[in-house]
Amino acid sequence: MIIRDAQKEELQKNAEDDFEIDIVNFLQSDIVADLEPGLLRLMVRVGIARARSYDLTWRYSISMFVSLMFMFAPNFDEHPVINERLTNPIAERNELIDSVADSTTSKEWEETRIVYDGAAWGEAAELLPESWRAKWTGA
Amino acid sequence: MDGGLGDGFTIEEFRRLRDAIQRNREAIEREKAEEIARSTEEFREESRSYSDKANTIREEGRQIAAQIDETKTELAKIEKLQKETKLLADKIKLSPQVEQLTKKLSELSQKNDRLLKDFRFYQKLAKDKQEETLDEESAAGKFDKNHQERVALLKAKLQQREPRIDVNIEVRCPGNSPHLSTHDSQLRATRQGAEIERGVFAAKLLQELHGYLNDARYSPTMCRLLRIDSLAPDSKSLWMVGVLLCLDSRNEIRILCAASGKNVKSNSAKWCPLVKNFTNFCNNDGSKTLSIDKMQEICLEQRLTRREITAQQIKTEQETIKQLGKCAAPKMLSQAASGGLIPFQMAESGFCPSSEGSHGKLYNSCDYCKFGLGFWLDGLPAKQRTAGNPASVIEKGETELFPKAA
Repeated sequence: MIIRDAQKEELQKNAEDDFEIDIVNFLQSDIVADLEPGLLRLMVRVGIARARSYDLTWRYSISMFVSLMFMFAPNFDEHPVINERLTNPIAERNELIDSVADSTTSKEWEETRIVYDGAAWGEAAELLPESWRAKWTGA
Repeated sequence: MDGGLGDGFTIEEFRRLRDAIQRNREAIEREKAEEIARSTEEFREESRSYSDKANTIREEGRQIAAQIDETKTELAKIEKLQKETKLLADKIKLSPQVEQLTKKLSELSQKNDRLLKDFRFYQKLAKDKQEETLDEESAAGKFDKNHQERVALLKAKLQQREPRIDVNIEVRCPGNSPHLSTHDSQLRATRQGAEIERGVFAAKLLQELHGYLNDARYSPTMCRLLRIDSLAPDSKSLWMVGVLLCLDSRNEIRILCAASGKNVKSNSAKWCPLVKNFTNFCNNDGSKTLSIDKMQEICLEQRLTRREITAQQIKTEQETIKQLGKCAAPKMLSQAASGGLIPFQMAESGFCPSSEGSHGKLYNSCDYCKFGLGFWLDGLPAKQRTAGNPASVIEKGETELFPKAA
Protein backbone atom coordinates (compact mmCIF):
# COMPACT_ATOMS: atom_id res chain seq x y z
CA MET A 1 0.00 0.00 0.00
CA ILE A 2 1.35 3.41 -1.00
CA ILE A 3 0.73 6.61 0.87
CA ARG A 4 1.55 9.87 -0.90
CA ASP A 5 3.00 13.03 0.65
CA ALA A 6 -0.12 14.97 -0.24
CA GLN A 7 -2.12 12.37 1.59
CA LYS A 8 0.18 12.61 4.57
CA GLU A 9 -0.52 16.32 4.73
CA GLU A 10 -4.18 15.48 4.63
CA LEU A 11 -3.67 13.35 7.71
CA GLN A 12 -2.84 16.44 9.70
CA LYS A 13 -6.11 18.22 9.10
CA ASN A 14 -8.60 18.14 11.89
CA ALA A 15 -12.15 16.94 11.85
CA GLU A 16 -13.63 20.42 11.49
CA ASP A 17 -11.61 21.16 8.36
CA ASP A 18 -12.58 17.84 6.89
CA PHE A 19 -16.20 18.51 7.58
CA GLU A 20 -16.04 21.85 5.79
CA ILE A 21 -14.33 20.23 2.83
CA ASP A 22 -16.87 17.43 2.71
CA ILE A 23 -19.70 19.96 2.53
CA VAL A 24 -17.90 21.97 -0.14
CA ASN A 25 -17.41 18.82 -2.20
CA PHE A 26 -21.02 17.88 -1.83
CA LEU A 27 -22.25 21.34 -2.77
CA GLN A 28 -19.98 21.47 -5.79
CA SER A 29 -21.19 18.14 -7.05
CA ASP A 30 -24.87 18.63 -6.34
CA ILE A 31 -25.92 22.24 -5.80
CA VAL A 32 -23.38 24.97 -6.60
CA ALA A 33 -21.23 24.73 -9.68
CA ASP A 34 -20.31 28.33 -10.35
CA LEU A 35 -18.31 29.33 -7.27
CA GLU A 36 -14.61 29.19 -6.62
CA PRO A 37 -13.84 26.54 -3.91
CA GLY A 38 -12.13 29.02 -1.54
CA LEU A 39 -15.13 31.34 -1.56
CA LEU A 40 -17.49 28.41 -1.30
CA ARG A 41 -15.64 27.21 1.79
CA LEU A 42 -15.92 30.66 3.36
CA MET A 43 -19.67 30.58 2.75
CA VAL A 44 -19.87 27.06 4.14
CA ARG A 45 -18.14 28.25 7.29
CA VAL A 46 -20.75 31.02 7.66
CA GLY A 47 -23.46 28.45 7.08
CA ILE A 48 -22.08 26.05 9.68
CA ALA A 49 -21.99 28.85 12.25
CA ARG A 50 -25.59 29.76 11.42
CA ALA A 51 -26.66 26.12 11.73
CA ARG A 52 -24.94 25.86 15.09
CA SER A 53 -26.84 28.90 16.36
CA TYR A 54 -29.85 26.53 16.33
CA ASP A 55 -27.84 24.02 18.40
CA LEU A 56 -27.43 21.67 15.46
CA THR A 57 -24.43 19.42 16.04
CA TRP A 58 -24.76 16.40 13.77
CA ARG A 59 -22.89 16.21 10.50
CA TYR A 60 -26.16 15.36 8.81
CA SER A 61 -28.24 18.20 10.29
CA ILE A 62 -25.57 20.85 9.72
CA SER A 63 -24.94 19.66 6.14
CA MET A 64 -28.67 19.78 5.47
CA PHE A 65 -28.98 23.30 6.91
CA VAL A 66 -26.04 24.62 4.89
CA SER A 67 -27.29 22.94 1.71
CA LEU A 68 -30.70 24.59 2.16
CA MET A 69 -28.96 27.95 2.55
CA PHE A 70 -27.38 27.42 -0.86
CA MET A 71 -30.43 25.89 -2.44
CA PHE A 72 -32.87 28.65 -1.41
CA ALA A 73 -31.55 31.56 0.64
CA PRO A 74 -28.92 32.04 3.33
CA ASN A 75 -31.65 33.50 5.52
CA PHE A 76 -34.21 30.76 4.82
CA ASP A 77 -34.41 30.22 8.59
CA GLU A 78 -35.98 33.68 9.00
CA HIS A 79 -39.17 32.52 7.32
CA PRO A 80 -41.70 32.59 10.18
CA VAL A 81 -43.04 29.10 9.53
CA ILE A 82 -39.59 27.56 9.08
CA ASN A 83 -38.24 29.43 12.07
CA GLU A 84 -41.03 28.04 14.21
CA ARG A 85 -40.14 24.52 13.08
CA LEU A 86 -36.45 25.09 13.77
CA THR A 87 -37.03 26.41 17.26
CA ASN A 88 -39.63 23.91 18.41
CA PRO A 89 -38.69 23.48 22.07
CA ILE A 90 -40.17 19.99 22.40
CA ALA A 91 -38.28 18.09 19.70
CA GLU A 92 -34.61 17.05 19.66
CA ARG A 93 -32.64 19.92 18.11
CA ASN A 94 -30.91 17.89 15.42
CA GLU A 95 -34.14 16.19 14.35
CA LEU A 96 -35.78 19.56 13.66
CA ILE A 97 -34.07 19.89 10.31
CA ASP A 98 -36.00 16.81 9.15
CA SER A 99 -39.22 18.50 10.18
CA VAL A 100 -38.19 21.53 8.11
CA ALA A 101 -37.36 19.35 5.11
CA ASP A 102 -40.53 17.26 5.36
CA SER A 103 -43.10 19.91 6.25
CA THR A 104 -42.08 23.03 4.37
CA THR A 105 -44.14 23.50 1.26
CA SER A 106 -42.83 24.56 -2.15
CA LYS A 107 -44.66 27.85 -1.69
CA GLU A 108 -42.82 28.52 1.56
CA TRP A 109 -39.49 27.64 -0.02
CA GLU A 110 -40.30 29.98 -2.84
CA GLU A 111 -41.03 32.71 -0.31
CA THR A 112 -37.61 32.24 1.30
CA ARG A 113 -36.05 32.57 -2.13
CA ILE A 114 -37.92 35.80 -2.76
CA VAL A 115 -36.69 37.45 0.44
CA TYR A 116 -33.11 36.34 -0.25
CA ASP A 117 -30.79 38.39 1.95
CA GLY A 118 -27.21 38.20 0.69
CA ALA A 119 -25.91 39.95 3.80
CA ALA A 120 -26.47 36.66 5.60
CA TRP A 121 -23.36 35.34 3.83
CA GLY A 122 -21.37 37.67 6.07
CA GLU A 123 -17.90 38.55 4.87
CA ALA A 124 -18.33 36.32 1.83
CA ALA A 125 -21.20 38.46 0.51
CA GLU A 126 -18.83 41.13 -0.80
CA LEU A 127 -16.77 38.56 -2.67
CA LEU A 128 -19.65 36.91 -4.49
CA PRO A 129 -19.83 37.28 -8.28
CA GLU A 130 -22.45 39.51 -9.89
CA SER A 131 -24.61 36.54 -10.89
CA TRP A 132 -25.02 35.74 -7.21
CA ARG A 133 -25.40 39.31 -6.05
CA ALA A 134 -28.28 39.70 -8.47
CA LYS A 135 -30.23 37.29 -6.30
CA TRP A 136 -30.80 39.95 -3.70
CA THR A 137 -29.95 43.23 -5.39
CA GLY A 138 -32.36 42.49 -8.20
CA ALA A 139 -29.84 43.86 -10.62
CA MET B 1 -51.03 35.04 174.17
CA ASP B 2 -48.95 37.97 173.32
CA GLY B 3 -49.96 39.19 170.01
CA GLY B 4 -52.15 36.26 170.16
CA LEU B 5 -52.14 34.94 166.75
CA GLY B 6 -51.20 31.36 167.40
CA ASP B 7 -48.47 29.81 165.27
CA GLY B 8 -49.10 32.25 162.37
CA PHE B 9 -46.71 34.80 160.86
CA THR B 10 -45.54 37.30 163.05
CA ILE B 11 -46.04 40.86 161.98
CA GLU B 12 -42.47 40.98 161.44
CA GLU B 13 -42.68 37.90 159.52
CA PHE B 14 -45.65 39.22 157.70
CA ARG B 15 -44.03 42.46 156.91
CA ARG B 16 -41.16 40.61 155.70
CA LEU B 17 -43.49 38.38 153.73
CA ARG B 18 -45.41 41.38 152.44
CA ASP B 19 -42.25 43.04 151.61
CA ALA B 20 -41.12 39.93 149.97
CA ILE B 21 -44.40 39.65 148.04
CA GLN B 22 -44.23 43.30 147.27
CA ARG B 23 -40.75 42.81 146.07
CA ASN B 24 -41.85 39.78 144.23
CA ARG B 25 -44.73 41.75 142.65
CA GLU B 26 -42.46 44.51 141.85
CA ALA B 27 -40.03 42.06 140.40
CA ILE B 28 -42.77 40.45 138.36
CA GLU B 29 -44.06 43.81 137.28
CA ARG B 30 -40.56 44.86 136.53
CA GLU B 31 -40.08 41.68 134.63
CA LYS B 32 -43.36 42.25 132.87
CA ALA B 33 -42.43 45.80 132.14
CA GLU B 34 -39.09 44.63 130.98
CA GLU B 35 -40.74 41.96 128.89
CA ILE B 36 -43.22 44.44 127.54
CA ALA B 37 -40.41 46.80 126.88
CA ARG B 38 -38.50 44.01 125.29
CA SER B 39 -41.55 42.91 123.34
CA THR B 40 -42.20 46.49 122.43
CA GLU B 41 -38.67 46.79 121.35
CA GLU B 42 -38.95 43.52 119.43
CA PHE B 43 -42.22 44.65 117.95
CA ARG B 44 -40.67 47.93 117.05
CA GLU B 45 -37.78 46.03 115.58
CA GLU B 46 -40.18 43.76 113.74
CA SER B 47 -42.16 46.74 112.68
CA ARG B 48 -39.02 48.37 111.43
CA SER B 49 -38.11 45.23 109.52
CA TYR B 50 -41.65 45.08 108.10
CA SER B 51 -41.28 48.66 107.22
CA ASP B 52 -38.01 47.91 105.52
CA LYS B 53 -39.59 44.95 103.77
CA ALA B 54 -42.48 47.13 102.77
CA ASN B 55 -40.02 49.63 101.45
CA THR B 56 -38.23 46.87 99.58
CA ILE B 57 -41.49 45.55 98.24
CA ARG B 58 -42.54 49.02 97.33
CA GLU B 59 -39.25 49.44 95.54
CA GLU B 60 -39.74 46.10 93.81
CA GLY B 61 -43.24 47.20 93.02
CA ARG B 62 -41.88 50.34 91.49
CA GLN B 63 -39.41 48.29 89.48
CA ILE B 64 -42.12 45.88 88.37
CA ALA B 65 -44.26 48.83 87.48
CA ALA B 66 -41.39 50.19 85.48
CA GLN B 67 -40.96 46.77 83.84
CA ILE B 68 -44.65 46.68 83.11
CA ASP B 69 -44.33 50.03 81.47
CA GLU B 70 -41.35 48.83 79.49
CA THR B 71 -43.16 45.62 78.55
CA LYS B 72 -46.15 47.63 77.50
CA THR B 73 -43.91 49.74 75.34
CA GLU B 74 -42.29 46.62 73.90
CA LEU B 75 -45.68 45.08 73.35
CA ALA B 76 -46.79 48.19 71.60
CA LYS B 77 -43.71 48.00 69.44
CA ILE B 78 -44.32 44.31 68.76
CA GLU B 79 -47.90 45.01 67.88
CA LYS B 80 -46.69 47.70 65.58
CA LEU B 81 -44.16 45.32 64.07
CA GLN B 82 -46.84 42.68 63.78
CA LYS B 83 -48.95 45.09 61.84
CA GLU B 84 -46.03 45.98 59.63
CA THR B 85 -45.11 42.29 59.20
CA LYS B 86 -48.64 41.52 58.22
CA LEU B 87 -48.44 44.18 55.61
CA LEU B 88 -45.17 42.71 54.37
CA ALA B 89 -46.67 39.23 54.40
CA ASP B 90 -49.47 40.50 52.25
CA LYS B 91 -46.92 42.02 49.96
CA ILE B 92 -45.05 38.71 49.85
CA LYS B 93 -48.25 36.99 48.95
CA LEU B 94 -48.35 39.31 45.98
CA SER B 95 -44.89 38.31 44.73
CA PRO B 96 -45.98 35.14 42.80
CA GLN B 97 -48.38 37.36 40.95
CA VAL B 98 -45.57 39.75 40.16
CA GLU B 99 -43.45 36.79 39.02
CA GLN B 100 -46.24 35.53 36.83
CA LEU B 101 -46.72 38.95 35.36
CA THR B 102 -42.97 39.30 34.70
CA LYS B 103 -42.95 35.92 33.01
CA LYS B 104 -45.97 36.86 30.98
CA LEU B 105 -44.33 40.13 30.04
CA SER B 106 -41.20 38.31 28.91
CA GLU B 107 -43.28 35.86 26.87
CA LEU B 108 -45.26 38.66 25.33
CA SER B 109 -42.05 40.54 24.59
CA GLN B 110 -40.61 37.47 22.88
CA LYS B 111 -43.83 36.98 20.99
CA ASN B 112 -43.77 40.63 20.03
CA ASP B 113 -40.19 40.32 18.74
CA ARG B 114 -41.14 37.27 16.78
CA LEU B 115 -44.22 38.96 15.35
CA LEU B 116 -42.11 41.96 14.46
CA LYS B 117 -39.63 39.69 12.67
CA ASP B 118 -42.49 37.91 10.91
CA PHE B 119 -43.99 41.25 9.97
CA ARG B 120 -40.70 42.45 8.51
CA PHE B 121 -40.31 39.18 6.65
CA TYR B 122 -43.77 39.36 5.10
CA GLN B 123 -43.35 43.07 4.42
CA LYS B 124 -40.14 42.32 2.52
CA LEU B 125 -41.81 39.34 0.87
CA ALA B 126 -44.67 41.55 -0.30
CA LYS B 127 -42.28 44.18 -1.62
CA ASP B 128 -39.99 41.67 -3.34
CA LYS B 129 -42.92 39.75 -4.72
CA GLN B 130 -44.30 42.95 -6.21
CA GLU B 131 -40.99 43.70 -7.82
CA GLU B 132 -40.73 40.14 -9.08
CA THR B 133 -44.20 40.29 -10.61
CA LEU B 134 -43.08 43.31 -12.57
CA ASP B 135 -40.21 41.27 -13.90
CA GLU B 136 -42.19 38.06 -14.15
CA GLU B 137 -40.91 37.01 -17.51
CA SER B 138 -37.32 36.79 -16.42
CA ALA B 139 -38.20 35.25 -13.07
CA ALA B 140 -40.44 32.58 -14.48
CA GLY B 141 -37.80 30.56 -16.22
CA LYS B 142 -35.17 31.08 -13.57
CA PHE B 143 -36.37 28.79 -10.80
CA ASP B 144 -37.88 25.42 -10.59
CA LYS B 145 -40.94 25.81 -8.39
CA ASN B 146 -41.12 22.17 -7.29
CA HIS B 147 -38.96 22.86 -4.29
CA GLN B 148 -40.42 20.21 -2.01
CA GLU B 149 -39.23 17.47 -4.34
CA ARG B 150 -35.76 19.00 -4.52
CA VAL B 151 -35.54 19.13 -0.75
CA ALA B 152 -36.65 15.49 -0.43
CA LEU B 153 -33.93 14.52 -2.90
CA LEU B 154 -31.35 16.53 -0.99
CA LYS B 155 -32.42 14.88 2.26
CA ALA B 156 -32.12 11.40 0.75
CA LYS B 157 -28.63 12.17 -0.56
CA LEU B 158 -27.40 13.61 2.71
CA GLN B 159 -28.88 10.78 4.72
CA GLN B 160 -26.78 8.38 2.71
CA ARG B 161 -23.70 10.54 2.90
CA GLU B 162 -23.61 12.02 6.39
CA PRO B 163 -24.01 10.11 9.66
CA ARG B 164 -26.21 11.37 12.44
CA ILE B 165 -23.29 11.95 14.76
CA ASP B 166 -21.66 15.04 16.16
CA VAL B 167 -19.03 16.81 14.09
CA ASN B 168 -17.06 17.73 17.14
CA ILE B 169 -16.55 14.31 18.65
CA GLU B 170 -13.14 14.30 20.28
CA VAL B 171 -11.19 11.84 18.24
CA ARG B 172 -7.64 11.12 19.25
CA CYS B 173 -5.53 9.00 17.04
CA PRO B 174 -1.82 8.64 16.53
CA GLY B 175 -0.32 11.75 15.05
CA ASN B 176 -3.24 13.85 16.30
CA SER B 177 -5.22 12.87 13.27
CA PRO B 178 -8.39 10.84 13.07
CA HIS B 179 -7.06 9.36 9.86
CA LEU B 180 -4.45 6.73 9.47
CA SER B 181 -4.75 6.88 5.76
CA THR B 182 -6.69 8.78 3.15
CA HIS B 183 -5.85 6.52 0.29
CA ASP B 184 -8.47 7.00 -2.40
CA SER B 185 -9.54 3.37 -2.48
CA GLN B 186 -9.99 3.36 1.27
CA LEU B 187 -11.98 6.56 1.19
CA ARG B 188 -14.22 5.11 -1.48
CA ALA B 189 -14.69 2.03 0.62
CA THR B 190 -15.41 4.19 3.62
CA ARG B 191 -18.09 6.04 1.73
CA GLN B 192 -19.59 2.78 0.57
CA GLY B 193 -19.71 1.72 4.19
CA ALA B 194 -22.78 3.95 4.66
CA GLU B 195 -22.37 5.89 7.88
CA ILE B 196 -18.68 5.39 8.41
CA GLU B 197 -16.77 8.60 8.87
CA ARG B 198 -13.03 8.62 9.11
CA GLY B 199 -11.92 8.25 12.73
CA VAL B 200 -15.31 9.13 14.11
CA PHE B 201 -16.74 5.69 13.43
CA ALA B 202 -13.88 3.98 15.24
CA ALA B 203 -14.41 6.29 18.20
CA LYS B 204 -18.12 5.52 18.24
CA LEU B 205 -17.45 1.79 18.15
CA LEU B 206 -14.95 2.19 20.92
CA GLN B 207 -17.49 4.00 23.07
CA GLU B 208 -19.88 1.09 22.63
CA LEU B 209 -17.18 -1.44 23.39
CA HIS B 210 -16.30 0.53 26.46
CA GLY B 211 -19.86 0.23 27.71
CA TYR B 212 -19.87 -3.53 27.12
CA LEU B 213 -16.56 -3.95 28.94
CA ASN B 214 -18.06 -2.08 31.86
CA ASP B 215 -20.89 -4.61 32.03
CA ALA B 216 -18.53 -7.52 31.47
CA ARG B 217 -16.83 -6.81 34.77
CA TYR B 218 -19.91 -8.27 36.48
CA SER B 219 -21.32 -10.56 33.84
CA PRO B 220 -19.72 -13.82 32.66
CA THR B 221 -22.31 -13.90 29.87
CA MET B 222 -21.09 -10.51 28.68
CA CYS B 223 -17.51 -11.82 28.75
CA ARG B 224 -18.57 -14.82 26.71
CA LEU B 225 -20.32 -12.56 24.19
CA LEU B 226 -17.26 -10.34 23.95
CA ARG B 227 -15.06 -13.44 23.62
CA ILE B 228 -13.11 -12.60 26.71
CA ASP B 229 -11.62 -15.36 28.84
CA SER B 230 -10.99 -13.07 31.76
CA LEU B 231 -11.07 -9.38 32.47
CA ALA B 232 -8.81 -7.47 34.84
CA PRO B 233 -10.58 -6.91 38.15
CA ASP B 234 -11.44 -3.40 39.24
CA SER B 235 -8.34 -1.49 40.04
CA LYS B 236 -7.29 2.10 40.39
CA SER B 237 -4.77 1.83 37.59
CA LEU B 238 -5.64 3.11 34.15
CA TRP B 239 -5.37 0.84 31.15
CA MET B 240 -6.21 1.39 27.52
CA VAL B 241 -8.66 -0.26 25.22
CA GLY B 242 -8.57 0.31 21.48
CA VAL B 243 -10.46 -0.33 18.27
CA LEU B 244 -8.90 -0.56 14.84
CA LEU B 245 -10.94 -0.60 11.65
CA CYS B 246 -9.35 -2.34 8.70
CA LEU B 247 -10.23 -3.33 5.18
CA ASP B 248 -9.65 -6.89 4.11
CA SER B 249 -8.78 -8.12 0.62
CA ARG B 250 -12.47 -8.04 -0.32
CA ASN B 251 -12.67 -4.41 0.80
CA GLU B 252 -14.87 -5.35 3.73
CA ILE B 253 -14.46 -3.71 7.11
CA ARG B 254 -12.91 -5.71 9.95
CA ILE B 255 -12.84 -4.55 13.57
CA LEU B 256 -9.93 -5.43 15.82
CA CYS B 257 -9.89 -4.79 19.55
CA ALA B 258 -7.07 -4.74 22.04
CA ALA B 259 -6.33 -3.78 25.59
CA SER B 260 -3.02 -2.63 26.96
CA GLY B 261 -0.91 -5.03 29.05
CA LYS B 262 -2.64 -8.22 30.13
CA ASN B 263 -5.87 -6.62 31.24
CA VAL B 264 -8.03 -8.58 28.82
CA LYS B 265 -7.24 -12.21 28.21
CA SER B 266 -8.75 -13.77 25.15
CA ASN B 267 -7.99 -16.50 22.67
CA SER B 268 -10.17 -14.87 20.06
CA ALA B 269 -8.47 -13.21 17.12
CA LYS B 270 -10.73 -10.21 17.69
CA TRP B 271 -8.65 -9.39 20.74
CA CYS B 272 -5.09 -8.83 19.64
CA PRO B 273 -2.36 -10.53 21.67
CA LEU B 274 0.80 -9.04 23.10
CA VAL B 275 3.36 -8.14 20.42
CA LYS B 276 6.39 -10.35 20.86
CA ASN B 277 8.11 -9.20 17.73
CA PHE B 278 7.38 -7.07 14.74
CA THR B 279 7.94 -9.70 12.07
CA ASN B 280 4.84 -8.69 10.22
CA PHE B 281 5.97 -5.20 9.50
CA CYS B 282 9.23 -4.66 7.82
CA ASN B 283 12.89 -5.18 8.12
CA ASN B 284 15.70 -2.90 7.28
CA ASP B 285 18.23 -5.62 6.46
CA GLY B 286 16.09 -7.66 4.10
CA SER B 287 15.28 -10.47 6.50
CA LYS B 288 11.74 -11.21 7.57
CA THR B 289 12.28 -11.09 11.30
CA LEU B 290 12.35 -7.97 13.37
CA SER B 291 12.85 -8.49 17.06
CA ILE B 292 11.55 -6.14 19.70
CA ASP B 293 15.15 -5.15 20.42
CA LYS B 294 15.74 -4.35 16.77
CA MET B 295 12.51 -2.39 16.60
CA GLN B 296 13.50 -0.38 19.65
CA GLU B 297 16.88 0.27 18.08
CA ILE B 298 15.27 1.51 14.86
CA CYS B 299 12.93 3.78 16.77
CA LEU B 300 15.80 5.32 18.65
CA GLU B 301 17.74 5.79 15.44
CA GLN B 302 14.79 7.49 13.82
CA ARG B 303 14.25 9.81 16.74
CA LEU B 304 17.91 10.66 16.76
CA THR B 305 17.91 11.31 13.01
CA ARG B 306 14.87 13.54 13.33
CA ARG B 307 16.64 15.31 16.21
CA GLU B 308 13.75 14.53 18.53
CA ILE B 309 16.30 13.32 21.04
CA THR B 310 19.98 13.99 21.60
CA ALA B 311 22.77 11.41 21.92
CA GLN B 312 22.91 12.13 25.64
CA GLN B 313 19.27 11.19 26.05
CA ILE B 314 19.62 7.78 24.48
CA LYS B 315 20.24 5.97 27.74
CA THR B 316 17.05 7.30 29.30
CA GLU B 317 15.12 6.59 26.14
CA GLN B 318 16.36 3.01 26.04
CA GLU B 319 14.69 2.40 29.40
CA THR B 320 11.46 4.03 28.31
CA ILE B 321 11.22 2.24 25.02
CA LYS B 322 11.20 -1.18 26.68
CA GLN B 323 7.43 -0.74 27.10
CA LEU B 324 7.02 -0.77 23.32
CA GLY B 325 4.51 -3.32 22.12
CA LYS B 326 2.46 -3.56 25.29
CA CYS B 327 -0.11 -0.93 24.30
CA ALA B 328 -3.33 -1.48 22.36
CA ALA B 329 -2.17 0.32 19.20
CA PRO B 330 0.86 -1.86 18.32
CA LYS B 331 -1.12 -5.00 19.18
CA MET B 332 -3.86 -4.09 16.75
CA LEU B 333 -1.53 -2.83 14.01
CA SER B 334 0.60 -5.94 14.30
CA GLN B 335 -2.45 -8.18 14.11
CA ALA B 336 -3.71 -6.23 11.09
CA ALA B 337 -0.37 -6.55 9.34
CA SER B 338 -0.20 -10.28 9.98
CA GLY B 339 -3.72 -10.73 8.63
CA GLY B 340 -3.02 -8.65 5.52
CA LEU B 341 -5.57 -6.06 6.62
CA ILE B 342 -5.35 -2.38 5.72
CA PRO B 343 -6.00 -0.17 8.73
CA PHE B 344 -7.88 3.06 8.19
CA GLN B 345 -9.29 4.18 11.53
CA MET B 346 -8.18 3.80 15.09
CA ALA B 347 -9.20 5.10 18.49
CA GLU B 348 -8.00 4.38 22.01
CA SER B 349 -9.67 5.20 25.31
CA GLY B 350 -8.85 4.83 28.98
CA PHE B 351 -10.47 2.18 31.19
CA CYS B 352 -10.52 2.94 34.90
CA PRO B 353 -13.99 2.77 36.50
CA SER B 354 -12.69 4.37 39.71
CA SER B 355 -11.61 7.51 37.87
CA GLU B 356 -14.43 9.38 36.18
CA GLY B 357 -12.03 11.76 34.45
CA SER B 358 -10.05 9.06 32.67
CA HIS B 359 -12.67 6.36 32.23
CA GLY B 360 -13.87 6.39 28.64
CA LYS B 361 -11.75 9.36 27.64
CA LEU B 362 -10.22 9.17 24.20
CA TYR B 363 -6.45 9.36 24.33
CA ASN B 364 -3.55 9.97 22.01
CA SER B 365 -1.10 7.16 21.71
CA CYS B 366 1.35 6.99 24.57
CA ASP B 367 4.93 8.23 24.48
CA TYR B 368 6.26 4.73 23.81
CA CYS B 369 3.98 4.15 20.86
CA LYS B 370 4.80 7.47 19.32
CA PHE B 371 8.29 6.08 18.80
CA GLY B 372 6.96 3.22 16.74
CA LEU B 373 3.89 4.59 15.03
CA GLY B 374 5.79 6.38 12.33
CA PHE B 375 7.40 3.12 11.44
CA TRP B 376 4.27 1.00 11.75
CA LEU B 377 2.27 3.34 9.57
CA ASP B 378 4.79 4.74 7.15
CA GLY B 379 7.27 1.91 6.98
CA LEU B 380 10.99 2.37 6.94
CA PRO B 381 12.69 5.05 4.85
CA ALA B 382 12.49 4.03 1.19
CA LYS B 383 16.23 3.43 0.83
CA GLN B 384 16.33 0.83 3.61
CA ARG B 385 13.16 -0.84 2.48
CA THR B 386 13.92 -1.13 -1.23
CA ALA B 387 17.28 -2.58 -0.35
CA GLY B 388 15.45 -5.49 1.28
CA ASN B 389 12.65 -5.62 -1.21
CA PRO B 390 13.79 -4.71 -4.73
CA ALA B 391 10.47 -5.70 -6.25
CA SER B 392 8.80 -2.78 -4.57
CA VAL B 393 8.89 0.39 -6.65
CA ILE B 394 8.57 3.53 -4.57
CA GLU B 395 8.34 6.82 -6.33
CA LYS B 396 9.61 10.09 -4.99
CA GLY B 397 7.25 11.61 -2.44
CA GLU B 398 5.73 8.25 -1.54
CA THR B 399 6.14 5.90 1.37
CA GLU B 400 5.03 2.32 1.50
CA LEU B 401 2.69 1.37 4.30
CA PHE B 402 2.88 -2.19 5.64
CA PRO B 403 4.88 -3.57 2.71
CA LYS B 404 4.23 -7.20 1.99
CA ALA B 405 7.07 -9.69 2.15
CA ALA B 406 8.72 -10.37 -1.17
